[in-house]
Amino acid sequence: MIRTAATETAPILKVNDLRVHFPVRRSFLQRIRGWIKAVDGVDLEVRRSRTLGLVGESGCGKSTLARAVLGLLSASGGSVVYRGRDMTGLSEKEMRPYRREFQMIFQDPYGSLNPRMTIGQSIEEGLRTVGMERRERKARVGELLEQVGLAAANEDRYPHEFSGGQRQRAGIARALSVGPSLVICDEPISALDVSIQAQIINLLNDLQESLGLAYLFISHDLNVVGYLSHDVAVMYLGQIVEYAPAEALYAAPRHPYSKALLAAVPTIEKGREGFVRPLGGDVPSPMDPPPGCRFQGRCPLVEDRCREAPVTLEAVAPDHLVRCWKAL
Amino acid sequence: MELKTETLLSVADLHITFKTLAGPAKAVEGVSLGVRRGETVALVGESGCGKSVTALSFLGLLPRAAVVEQGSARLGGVELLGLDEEELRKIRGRRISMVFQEPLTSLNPVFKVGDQIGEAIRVHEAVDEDEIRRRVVTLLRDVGIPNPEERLDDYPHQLSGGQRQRVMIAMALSCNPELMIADEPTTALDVTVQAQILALMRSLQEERRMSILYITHDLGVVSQVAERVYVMYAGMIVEEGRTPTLFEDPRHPYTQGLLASLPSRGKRGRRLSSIPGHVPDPACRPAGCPFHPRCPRAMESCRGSVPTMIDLGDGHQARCLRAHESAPNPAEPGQRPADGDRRVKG
Repeated sequence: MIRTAATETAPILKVNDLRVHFPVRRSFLQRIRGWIKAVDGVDLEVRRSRTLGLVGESGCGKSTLARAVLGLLSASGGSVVYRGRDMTGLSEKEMRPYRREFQMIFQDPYGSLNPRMTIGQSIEEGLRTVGMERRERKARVGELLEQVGLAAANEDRYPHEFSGGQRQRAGIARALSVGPSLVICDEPISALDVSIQAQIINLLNDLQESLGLAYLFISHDLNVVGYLSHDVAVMYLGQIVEYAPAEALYAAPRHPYSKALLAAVPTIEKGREGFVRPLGGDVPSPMDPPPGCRFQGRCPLVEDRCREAPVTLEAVAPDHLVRCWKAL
Repeated sequence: MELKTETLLSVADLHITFKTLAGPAKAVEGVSLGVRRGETVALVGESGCGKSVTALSFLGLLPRAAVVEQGSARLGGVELLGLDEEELRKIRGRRISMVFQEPLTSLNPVFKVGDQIGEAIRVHEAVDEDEIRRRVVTLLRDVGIPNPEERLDDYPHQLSGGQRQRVMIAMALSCNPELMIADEPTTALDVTVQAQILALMRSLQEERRMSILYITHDLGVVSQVAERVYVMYAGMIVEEGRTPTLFEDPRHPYTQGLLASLPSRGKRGRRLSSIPGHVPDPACRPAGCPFHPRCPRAMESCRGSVPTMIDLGDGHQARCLRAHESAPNPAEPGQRPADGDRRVKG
């Protein structure tokens, strides 16, 4: 495919005001009792060769967002625009040609590899769906395995014969088999041993460099996100509370939640003396969130106005958006 | 700061083997460690290194297939290994208690949390129900649970993950143990909740002068909680020392590799150095130094026999023939040994 200069700089993925709401039904007569606003008005964009890190704690909606972007969940509102084409509302058939363009890498590669198929067969399945001929497929499987750092001879082995790190490599090879331009990585290294994590992180970096991949990198680990990302979006209860170049966010987070999150990350540099007073409370339920700022219940800076009106995402610097009055 | 000199737990030359269909697998091979009174010690390692098995053996909680082949574990002079069930029951909960990773699987879902916390007190001490209730309320307050009088009658599923872990800690504290073993207590929690639990454990320990043996794979957590660290690899302690020393000047290539491989914002743009290969299967660990097949500094003599711990002063020891050399620093090429390129592609 020939890409003009204009398409190089245009975002590969653009998400506009995306909403995913789940109804909560009362068991009797299935009446709707309330809504879980898992994703509630999210905007973001990912460009070629760039990584957008998406961080937040469990239940903040980051995995739901990923599923909606992939079209695995239907959106309640907003749009997912892929290279200028709106994907929302496309039928399964209309969606198919685009499926190969965005792929996902999961936390547990066991879940994405068929245990009864060899690694080679799993990867070949991807190649077949994009219409590659049998003769070419065999050679391509070998190439893909080598590309993720596995010997081509591994193609006849089954997933259970691999170690965790090797299995994640195989999962990546399968995702790459259809030639995606965007890869959504959902906690891809969380299940791996510490000594193996760096291998996979380096591999993801290498692949981005050589293939120009765009990554949406979802993780709760701020150390990994900080290392890999160009831009970072911090999510809390279904909304983005801060969106900034990683450099700016890590140097000086502006939203009280981002500050607390970064302060809570244990790092060796901080050591035993660098321990700060942690944020109180737990992440509240996304069902019927409070009016006003969603962080109000845990925020050390909360004021009356935070409880009254919703807070919007505002620019505090070019490319740096924050959802807090106090940051303006 | 007071000196913590009195040894509470002392483990010497512990060997534990698992019987498997493929033959015996050595899970723990000659572990020796000590925890002083009032001290927090971390036992760090990756999955399968034997760190949890080591801790379970002190409490007689090893799975059936595991056999303690030799060694001793003494708690203030009492030998723990080989105690019968009745003697162990007097120790568990009262002198040593344990906090596990996933509180939902350790709490009984059909009992109220108040009753579960009170159970240990009921077993170990002859006190009436009112007294038990009073003590449970105090414990819940101590671990930072709001409205403890009401929470007493909650069931585990009614609490959040962080609160459940607080309940587990309250339970572990119920009989004022001398030693708390915490096995990955924050791994299942969110970052901000993890910070709350770590802060709680630190303040409780300072108030009660309890010793904590903290088992984890997370080096960031270790650096925040532990005064001393033992690093375990393939069933052996490979390095031990005071936390700041060990992190600033690690001498075992495994510790060096782990620290160098941690991603952080500050390392952006530089390639992470990774440890090639993977953790060996306990059933077929390599001969000699167990780390030699993955070691960037391995020499011919590393294949021969397991190195002994080399003393580096101030309690810092490393099980490496080259422990006297400082870590190769990729940023300063002059200091790098000839074979020190650690960017091995995995």
